Amino acid sequence: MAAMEEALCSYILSKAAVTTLIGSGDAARLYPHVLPQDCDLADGAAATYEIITSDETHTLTDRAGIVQSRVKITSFAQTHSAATTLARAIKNCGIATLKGVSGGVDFRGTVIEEGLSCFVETPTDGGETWRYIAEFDLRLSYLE
Amino acid sequence: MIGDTGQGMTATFSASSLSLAITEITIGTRTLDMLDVSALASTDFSELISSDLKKIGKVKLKFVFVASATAPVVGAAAETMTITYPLFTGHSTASTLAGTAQFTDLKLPDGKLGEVMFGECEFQYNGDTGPTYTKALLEI
Repeated sequence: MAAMEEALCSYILSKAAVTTLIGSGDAARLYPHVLPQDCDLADGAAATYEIITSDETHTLTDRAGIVQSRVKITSFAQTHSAATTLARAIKNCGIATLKGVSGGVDFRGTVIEEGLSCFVETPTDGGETWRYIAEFDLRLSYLE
Repeated sequence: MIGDTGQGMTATFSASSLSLAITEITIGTRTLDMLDVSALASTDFSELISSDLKKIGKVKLKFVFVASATAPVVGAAAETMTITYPLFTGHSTASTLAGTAQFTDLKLPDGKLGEVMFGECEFQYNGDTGPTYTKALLEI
């Protein structure tokens, strides 16, 4: 059984509106948790994903199987516009309609748990390149 | 593995031409009254017998208000109203609740700054036909 995160990434990277911005396949700038050190935002925006929390449902004898995970998607760019464009591209790529088997995972429903929020990180290296960030949270229900 | 969410659940109507952006469906409880037939000689617990007929509560639909959309008509003729549950993976048909019913309540949205307007309507199965719950079928 594929992991939910892998299936989620596969789904996101199947959308042209997203791959136009962050590339596709192994070259896609979509990473777990943190941006790798060699990810240069001058090449374009990038995004990360991470599971924030997960709720499980139990029967009296075992796990029921349905899991609800809150997943944070964070986009990074050198401009506010590029960061929000990427975040919106992912948020609106159809992810909120995801239901059924995708990437080997049986998704049972997806909602935008928390909409877009934006902020900026000041440079810490004395430079003038700020890092703009836009993020939102998904709540994915799936069987595992 | 079991468990599902309400995403994909629908309400459809055989006569009313409605296109409601439904966000929530609340299904009324079906009940059977139990009649107390305890006598002076009864001991320990009340003695109960079932009534003859069941009752079913109203179904409530909450929807995003769209000013140009046709609203449910309270008092219109009864029609077949069907609730269809989401199709689960591995099932060939979804489970349904269907029967003759009519709209009994319509709550148009209130207006408030900074809040999305929602409407609510309710319909009542009238017991003429059904309502019948049909379970989903597994794919063969």
